[in-house]
Amino acid sequence: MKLFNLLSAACAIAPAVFMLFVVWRANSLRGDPDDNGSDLWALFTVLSSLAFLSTLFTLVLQTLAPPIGDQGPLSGYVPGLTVNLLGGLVAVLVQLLGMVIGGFSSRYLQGEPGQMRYIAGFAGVLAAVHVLLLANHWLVLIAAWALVGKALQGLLCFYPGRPFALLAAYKKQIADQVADVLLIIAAASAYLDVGSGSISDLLRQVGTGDASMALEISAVCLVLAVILRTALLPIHGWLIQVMEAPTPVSALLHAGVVNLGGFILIRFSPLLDVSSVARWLLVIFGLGTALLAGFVILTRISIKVRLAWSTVAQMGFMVLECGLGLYQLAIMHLIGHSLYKAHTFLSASMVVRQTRLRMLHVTAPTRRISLLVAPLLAYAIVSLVQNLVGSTGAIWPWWWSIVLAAAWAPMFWLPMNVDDEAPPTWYRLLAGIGMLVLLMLAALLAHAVPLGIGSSPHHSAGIVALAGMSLMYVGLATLQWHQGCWGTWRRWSYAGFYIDEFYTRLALRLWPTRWLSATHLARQPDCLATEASTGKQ
Amino acid sequence: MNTIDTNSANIHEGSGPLYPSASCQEHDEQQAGKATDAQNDAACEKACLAIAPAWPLDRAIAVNPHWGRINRPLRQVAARMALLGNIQVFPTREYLREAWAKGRMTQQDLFYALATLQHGEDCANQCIDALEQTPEIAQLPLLIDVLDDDPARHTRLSWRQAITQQVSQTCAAFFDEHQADWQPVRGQGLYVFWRDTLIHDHGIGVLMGLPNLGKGLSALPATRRDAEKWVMIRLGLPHDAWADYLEAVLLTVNGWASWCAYLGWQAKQEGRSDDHLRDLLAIRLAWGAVLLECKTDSSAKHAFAALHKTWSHASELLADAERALWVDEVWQLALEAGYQRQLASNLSTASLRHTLESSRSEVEVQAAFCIDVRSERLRRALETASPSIQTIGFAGFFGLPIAYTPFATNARRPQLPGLLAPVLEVTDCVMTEETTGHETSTSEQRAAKQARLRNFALSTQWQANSRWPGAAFSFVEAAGLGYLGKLAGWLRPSGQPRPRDDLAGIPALYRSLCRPTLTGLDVSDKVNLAATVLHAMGLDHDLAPLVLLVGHGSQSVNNAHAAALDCGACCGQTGEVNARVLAQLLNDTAVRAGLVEKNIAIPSETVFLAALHNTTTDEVEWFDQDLLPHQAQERLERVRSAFDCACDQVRRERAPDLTLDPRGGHGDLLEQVRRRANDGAQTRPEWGLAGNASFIIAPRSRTQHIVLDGRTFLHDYTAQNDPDSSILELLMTAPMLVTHWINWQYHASTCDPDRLGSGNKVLHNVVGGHIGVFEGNGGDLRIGLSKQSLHNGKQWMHEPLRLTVVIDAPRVAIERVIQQHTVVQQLINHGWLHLWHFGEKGLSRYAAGEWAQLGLMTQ
Repeated sequence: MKLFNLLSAACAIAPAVFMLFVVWRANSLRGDPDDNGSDLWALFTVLSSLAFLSTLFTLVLQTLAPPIGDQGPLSGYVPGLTVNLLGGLVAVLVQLLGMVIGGFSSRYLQGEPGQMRYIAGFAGVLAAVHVLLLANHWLVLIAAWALVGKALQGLLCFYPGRPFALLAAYKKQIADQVADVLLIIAAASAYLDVGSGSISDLLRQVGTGDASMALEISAVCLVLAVILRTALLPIHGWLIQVMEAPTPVSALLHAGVVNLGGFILIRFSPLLDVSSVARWLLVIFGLGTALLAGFVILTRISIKVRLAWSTVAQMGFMVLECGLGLYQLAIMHLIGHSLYKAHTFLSASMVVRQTRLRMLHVTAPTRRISLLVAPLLAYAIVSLVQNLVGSTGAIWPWWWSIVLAAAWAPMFWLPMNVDDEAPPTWYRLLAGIGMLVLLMLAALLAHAVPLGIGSSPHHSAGIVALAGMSLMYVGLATLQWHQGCWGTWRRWSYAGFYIDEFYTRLALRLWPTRWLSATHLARQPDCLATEASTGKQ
Repeated sequence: MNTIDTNSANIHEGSGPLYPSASCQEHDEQQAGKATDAQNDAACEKACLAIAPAWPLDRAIAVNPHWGRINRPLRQVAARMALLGNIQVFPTREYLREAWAKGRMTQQDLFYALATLQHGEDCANQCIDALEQTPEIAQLPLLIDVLDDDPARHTRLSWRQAITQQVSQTCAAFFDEHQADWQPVRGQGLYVFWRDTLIHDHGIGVLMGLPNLGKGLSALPATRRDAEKWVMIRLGLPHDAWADYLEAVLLTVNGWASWCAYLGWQAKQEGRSDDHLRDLLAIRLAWGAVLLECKTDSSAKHAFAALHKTWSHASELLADAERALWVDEVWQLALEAGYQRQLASNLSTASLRHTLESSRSEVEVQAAFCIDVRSERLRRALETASPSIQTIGFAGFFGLPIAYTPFATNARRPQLPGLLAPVLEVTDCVMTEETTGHETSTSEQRAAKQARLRNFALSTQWQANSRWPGAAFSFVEAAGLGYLGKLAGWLRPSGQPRPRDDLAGIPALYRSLCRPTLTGLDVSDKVNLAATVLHAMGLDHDLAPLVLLVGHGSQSVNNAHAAALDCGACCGQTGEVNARVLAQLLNDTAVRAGLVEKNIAIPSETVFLAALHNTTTDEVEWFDQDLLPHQAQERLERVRSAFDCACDQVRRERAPDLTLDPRGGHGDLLEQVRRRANDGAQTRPEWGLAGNASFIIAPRSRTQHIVLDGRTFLHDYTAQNDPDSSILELLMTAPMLVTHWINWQYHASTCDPDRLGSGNKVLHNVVGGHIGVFEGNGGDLRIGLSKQSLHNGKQWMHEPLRLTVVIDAPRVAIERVIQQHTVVQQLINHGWLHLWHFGEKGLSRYAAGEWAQLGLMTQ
């Protein structure tokens, strides 16, 4: 039994060790200019596959033989770390992404200088994220999260000659540092109340008694730190602007790093439940971001920036779900979004082919009546499926069903028939119903996965969220109803509501001359020729 | 003002001088501030004409970015580009230094170049010394640069950056039709749209450190014309500097200017006019004046003084720069000399063999390929594999000026060189064997259409989930796990064949029955078309029993620039449609009957068959085989084995450049090449036309069996069959220009990857679904080729050489064409390409209106 424990503990920590080994190798090889990285990539491929397998193994162990209480196999050997189902699941996801995106990078970056630096940063992020997922002590958590940022910094500035890459990285750094301070305050206040830095102790204590003032402060600070780290409005700018780094960096960032805030919120869900201020903060920032960024997405003219705004909006939605206490949905969102976004980022250049394929479609304006009927029809089907399948009654609050109906209603937006050979309305309706039933079944299935995460719906906030998401539907439908309406609102959306301009200016004031003088001027003899080929936005 | 017009009418009918003299401006004695509208207009127009068009990504064809400047000698253009846009035209000194150090350029090359350019041999040391230096040519400042003199300017974006960014984002919003789901209203043109955007902008002032920007904006004129006038009056530059200043202004947004020029090019082909480029110029100018309004009087005065000081003697600076670049011109030629010497010696041995080998084995198959440099390898391998196969080089659109509309769609697109406008329409018809490939089967056509529209409707409905924000939130929760499979697909690329996007959504049953067909032509039109094409291809006599029409296309995934690897002669599409349409036309019995009356007798056993050379995997796809008669099918089987063998040979030849092992087994190598083609992480799916350096217009016998390394465009031409030189004229005014465009796109992207190339592929960010790419977040639209298309990480895969055009035709005929066409004259006389004559007595080069000895082989 002891051997078994030792083995499972080793498995749990292995991914971080493997990745740290890669970092070490990369750093020791870095001085060699002739090395094109192929040997190290081979090492990375082997080790990241092993890392993925060990997270998988750990997860299976967790599911088959869940440890009693909070004491995972690790805590006996490494203080401050623990394994739980949630962390194990996210660890599988992150190492899978690491393996896929790393493999992609090894081919994508062939011939690029500085691949050692890239591998070091990449493996460093994976190692730090893994430790963060295992963290059971405030200090480990804070340190790991800071290290994620540190390792990522190297990737974001992979092209040090690109001033806007440096600027974006710097903007992220400011947000990270503020978040670190907030986390330290959160840890300190929790320590005051609990008398220990252990996270499991904290969560146990929160579950038993009333919340003290210290715990409330802790929750609020934690939530603010997450908002800063998750690139919600108004700190979203850096996430939009890291297109200055190679595509796979964006894939890793958008799929495996920025959503860690969601993991932390779910991990600390008992703490959130005691502080309604914290939850309202999440709801306000999450909903606000989802709504505003949602409209910004629609106006984007370049694929990567569109994807980046989509991440911002999705993060807003995930944080909103956490604020609403729908933790199971939030974790499914985290996983689903990661997989989706990693793939879409890696395949960003396919947009040319997709556009070409879309141009084959003959487009027609949407029938106005369908804009009105669609949400009703969607709601009918959502509740029907829910009643037929979810026999245990309401598995998510009633208002969430309406949110879902408004979300999926666009499947019932029917175009006017401009061609006699085009499929008839009943065909489209049936197809839409079929798709919606499929999606509902998938959602119910996902919701039923036993992850040991309880939900604690926050009903008054739920009504606010419902109003917000309905507003979004009304907005989208109006745009269909009357093409070209809301010119001013479009202009604001196109400008990202001018939020980032102010943040950028602030960042530049704090950190003035370095970014321009160091890079562009050095390359060009004439200082008037500092036309950078890149920009903001 | 006339134009750089190269559309078909002008080329073929021979236009007058394309460039007006600047004398009308020189005569002007009026004071700077009182310019007339006409002068404004002329200067703007002249600046706009300097910008070459850039085609969209899905129709990417190669363009010489200096096309609008070929009316000036190359060295002069190089000087102008350096001063006006900090753009490098000749190979960089760094590149030359390396070529010299590696022995790629020898002393002999240098002396040859010096002698040819009439410099003394004593200049050699000066040239060699110059390799260690960078020419000091300072870019001329624009108004926004001299105004941006604030001591605190490092705490904000530089104005140049901010303005480029603002203009670029506005252009993107205005021109995008496919990416944004929420489209702006843009009824009143680009200028008004921009003005509206800027006046309501609440952020740019903050970024630029200009809280009172609104004051300047209130002075913005409402229309483009007023804006032009307003700025020109305010600027008050000397008249003869205007056009240059305006060109420099356009070069700050060269990418979008090129896009506007493309819209103008298209408009002109359709007989419309287009103001977008003028709008863009006015926008960029107005920015300067707006900033001027924001400045205090004294600093404005100061800036003006600086600007006037430089621009009042711009012409002297230009002349100085031109003089300084003589070294670069010499080295450019020296670089070419090494290649040319090898080419000349190759051609001489081949022509020796040509006179010796008179008898040939009987030709069983004729295969017509595109002139593309990638065809050369396959043609050579094929001729080696089977002596009974004769190959022909011809422009890959096979002389069909068509536009193609895929089945049951409105997605019409041109399938011909960008120089020409389509005049014929092609669409898909469903034809079964029973209808013998000449008639449409109506019921099946209808069923196929219904099926396609149904599939389209389904995909639109499903895509609504990821398109609309509300839906996407809940969609990823429910269906995100489904992306596991797609994600796993990145781990190991598949080996699947080239996708057929034009057939997307059509059920498998109908796919092979969908055949592109000419519409709206009666038999006599078809006969005329067939006769013209056959004559031009030299296929109006002695036809083999099987004639293959081999177009080409590439295969890559996740590649924004995939179309740039397809057939340039088909406007960045594959040659499939053109080859199939022509085969169908020439197999038509009614057409053949008509051709007899025109003295073109196609033997009844002769059949035409379309095929496609996949240039990435070097495989060949065959089309409409089901329509072939039995006998031809058998013959095809025999040919296919020769093709298999030849393709394998080509793959082996290419393997080292693709970092593959050329010694593997046939199947093994093919498998590797296929997986490479399907690898979305592969930034170098193939090398495209990299290395291109020469264009040979001559009978194949002149080049047969010599190894040209996939660097040569080959067009078949037999002067005896062209008594009136009309074909020669066509070749020198269309394929020669197309190859020149390709050659110069590669040249420019290699010499200045930052400004004339599209930069680093791993940072590319597609704009508007198909318009172009940004490198990174934004900045200007990027044109040209990416670094990865030209460089393998260790070395350049393309050498910046000007095209050497070798023509086997009577000298008088060549001279006549030169005289009749200004564009051709300019290309040759201004040093944009080399022209050689390939006569019975060997090679000679055209220089300053005369034929001279090559002078390459003296040692």
